[in-house]
Amino acid sequence: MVKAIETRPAPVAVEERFDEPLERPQKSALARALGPVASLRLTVLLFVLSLVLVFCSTLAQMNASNWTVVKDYYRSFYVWVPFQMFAQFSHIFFGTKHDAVWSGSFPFPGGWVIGGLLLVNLLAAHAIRFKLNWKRAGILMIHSGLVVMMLGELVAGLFAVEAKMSIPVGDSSNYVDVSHKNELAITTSLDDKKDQVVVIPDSILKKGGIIRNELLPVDVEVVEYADNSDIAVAKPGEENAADTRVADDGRAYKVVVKEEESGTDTNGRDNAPAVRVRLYKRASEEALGTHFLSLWHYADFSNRMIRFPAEHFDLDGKTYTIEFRRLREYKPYTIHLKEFHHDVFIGTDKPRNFSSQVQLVDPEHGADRETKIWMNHPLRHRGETLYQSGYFPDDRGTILQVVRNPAWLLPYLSCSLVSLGMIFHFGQHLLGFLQRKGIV
Amino acid sequence: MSTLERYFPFGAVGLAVIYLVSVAISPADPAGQFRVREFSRLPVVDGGRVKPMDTLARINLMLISNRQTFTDEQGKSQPAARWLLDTFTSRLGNPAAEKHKVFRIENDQVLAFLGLEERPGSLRYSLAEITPKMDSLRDAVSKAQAVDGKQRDLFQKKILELAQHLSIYLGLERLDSVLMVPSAHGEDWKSLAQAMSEERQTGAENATARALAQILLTYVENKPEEFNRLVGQYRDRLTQQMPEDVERADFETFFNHFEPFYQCSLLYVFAFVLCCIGWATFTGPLNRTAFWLTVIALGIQTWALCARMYLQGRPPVTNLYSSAVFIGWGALTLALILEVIFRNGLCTLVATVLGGVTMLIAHHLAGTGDTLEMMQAVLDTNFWLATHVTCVTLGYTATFVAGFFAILFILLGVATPALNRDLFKSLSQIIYGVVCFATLLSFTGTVLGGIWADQSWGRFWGWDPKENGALLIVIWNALILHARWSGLVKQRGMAVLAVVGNMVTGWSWFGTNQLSVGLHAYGFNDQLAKGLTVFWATQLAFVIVGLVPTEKWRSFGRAEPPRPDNGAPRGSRERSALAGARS
Repeated sequence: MVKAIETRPAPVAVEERFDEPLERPQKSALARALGPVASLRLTVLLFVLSLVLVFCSTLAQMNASNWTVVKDYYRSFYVWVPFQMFAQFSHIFFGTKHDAVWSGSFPFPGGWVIGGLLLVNLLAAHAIRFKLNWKRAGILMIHSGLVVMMLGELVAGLFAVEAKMSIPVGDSSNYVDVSHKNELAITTSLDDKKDQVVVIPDSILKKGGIIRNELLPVDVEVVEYADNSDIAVAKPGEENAADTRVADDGRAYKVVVKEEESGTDTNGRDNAPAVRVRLYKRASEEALGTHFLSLWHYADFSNRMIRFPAEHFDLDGKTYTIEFRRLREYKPYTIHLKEFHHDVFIGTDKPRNFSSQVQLVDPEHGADRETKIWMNHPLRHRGETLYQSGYFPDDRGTILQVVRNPAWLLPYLSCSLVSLGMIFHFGQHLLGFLQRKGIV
Repeated sequence: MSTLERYFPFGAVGLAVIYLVSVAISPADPAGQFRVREFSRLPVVDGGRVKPMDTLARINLMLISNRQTFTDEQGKSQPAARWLLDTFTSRLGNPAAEKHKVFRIENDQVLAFLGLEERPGSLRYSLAEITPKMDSLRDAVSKAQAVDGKQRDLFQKKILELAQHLSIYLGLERLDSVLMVPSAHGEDWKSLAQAMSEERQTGAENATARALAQILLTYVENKPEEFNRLVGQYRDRLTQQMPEDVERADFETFFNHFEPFYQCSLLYVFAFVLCCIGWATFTGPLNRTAFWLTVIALGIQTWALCARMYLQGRPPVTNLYSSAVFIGWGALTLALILEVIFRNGLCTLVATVLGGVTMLIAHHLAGTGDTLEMMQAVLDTNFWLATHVTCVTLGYTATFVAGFFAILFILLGVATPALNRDLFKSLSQIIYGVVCFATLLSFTGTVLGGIWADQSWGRFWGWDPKENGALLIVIWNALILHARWSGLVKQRGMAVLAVVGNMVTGWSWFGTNQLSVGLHAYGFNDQLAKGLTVFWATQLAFVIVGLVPTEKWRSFGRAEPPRPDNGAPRGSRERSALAGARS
């Protein structure tokens, strides 16, 4: 008996190409040299790497502030990614134990490396395949827009400065507090009009040890430096503890060191670093006392709720003020706050709008004008932009964000280039496709 | 074409329209009884905006009872406004509110603590039933409050939840939590309790407050005609003072009553069933019917979106709930356009699935309160913000649409012989085209977000979790396109990558919000995290199925179906191909 022979037709040729491949064989010397660098497969690989980097940097913000993560992951050449945050991820989404410890970390290329390689890959691809015709115009626009964007982010990363200016109502200010940078300032008054200030930037404080300098009236030993701290009303019995200070409201508050603020926390609080210093008479072992200073004690700190009197020490008949504060930068202009308004939605305390009526005075530029700064309506002056950012407790003053970013226009250019490029490129394809279908 | 085939779609669509009109026309309050519906249209201020009593009632009843209606002692279903009226008058001598079984308690420990029987199917209890244990409840609440938020156990959380529901109720009962009494032109509102106590202190008569109080008193005294007359008078008074607010409140009451999103969901389910049956038999008429029903549903959803924009005065996306509604709207529009181009019935199927699923998600997101909540100042209306959210949400939408077509591609290919050459080609064209569209929208939307941030606080890009989420979608879409162009993947690979796009979008939409929950994640929306995990698991399953070698796919293992006649008129080609595939 012969069984029917089963005939099996060859599989359908399923993977037909419907789009012209971009990579065409080219034989020029340049093409051969740049070939691997310009490869689209490299692009895909770099995309995968950037996806991993962006994802990890998101998880990292569970345990560190946004600012720290940006520095570690993007404005860096490589980063050590801790496994612990995947344990946390797994706890949230897969319900594994919340106290699981996954120790160790793995290295990963940072933002400068991946971004740089993407840029090289893109430029090389265009160097090889550069051809100016209508069909490629869209691609060219998209990619040049992306180059502009990456350069914009590079310039912003290197040169942009963010700062805050706090002004009580009816008062003026001519300096800003540079965000994320701090300093220890020791001040003494020379006469009625002049103070002498010596500052130690936190880059030196973080190194620890004893700081000696002829400008300093004392030797400063950094006993402890903390990236973040919290403040709370002192519990009974703690009123006289070393880390407790009495505020202007007469109550005692204690500062405690804590881990960094989380970037994923929607409250978005800034870190409040703290430093413990011991002062000595210059070039001697004679201690003058220990001070625990936190940004919470600093009057212009944007999260501050309570005011503290200044901390003093005496030496050789002179009184010095010692303060840990944001890095202070003086401006050639003065802002006077005339009025501050804080509107809420009816029957709630949800803010509806903030606005500051200010007078800008800049003798050098001959500017003396009144203007209003409010949500989405910043003031631009001398290449800096002043935004409404926050307010004092009890609405007694305004906090302006002062930003200098030489590249601020580039994203606008980039966005237009890329979007128009995509509309052009995809539109061309769509039109062609609809024509083939006979629809248009 | 038989008569039945020709007229079936008209008949079905006509029935749907008749149904919708009948829902839209609200029956008048029965004569001689309290015109509760009339009362429910009166404007009040709550949560920072003017809304009708109806919305206030629905939101609060939803919060404590998880429903927008309640069952009275006679077992009759009653509107939320009735419960609100009874609650308002509870301290004026109306005993009804205390007896309404509206407090939803599902935790057995809490029930045992209160000495209540489990009531399967209802789980709802009246204040009168809780009152005997009020003192011990108070103790338990203060104990739970003393524990740090992240360390509380389930019982403590549920006790606090109940306490919060009771305080909502008490606020309404005391007439001091809702701003009901407008000043002369509606610029300042007071609660009734406050207005009355001010009147007692100053001696100056507040006519509006008196009128409101009078309405509540006639309700307690059971004088329907008097009540109806006073409500009418009060309404006229407000119409003179603030015609716009009254009009808006009227419109919102109609919106609530019509429940447009619920009607849409019904139509999607119905159209989906038609698509599925249409797949098996009676193809043409059922597919046409499904298409037109979906078009009607889309029309309603469009109207509802515009209505919400009118009520709120904001762009369509302001919170997670509205993002779900908007994503559904975008997905439907896109899928219906594709149906017009490809005419294969499959696009309608995808449209109904996406429409239904997003409605379901929106329904679950709505439970937390007023879906038309007011926005923080930074999120206040601004051109860049409005274009950003719209654009980026449409980007999410397109990514999902591509992903669902990819799932269809994989399932049809692996499990059925239906994925013939033509369908294979048109589905992969759809996936490719939609991914292109998604790249455009998600990129532009993300960058517009940066521009808005630059306008608002001078930082174009901050790498915060939400921004990163949007960026992941952009990069993923770009990756799909470049992988396709470089030849790393072909049609099947692109479909698998598009399914992964669903996972990436799910992460951006819901995942990044979950991270703030931190180490002790019994979070307030723990459910979302679980939902996302389940979604990921399903998508991963599709990816794995998609990775099965193509020789094992049913569609490719079998003989090639007969090529359709190339001379066939446009549109019929795909359909005859489908017919061929089934034979």
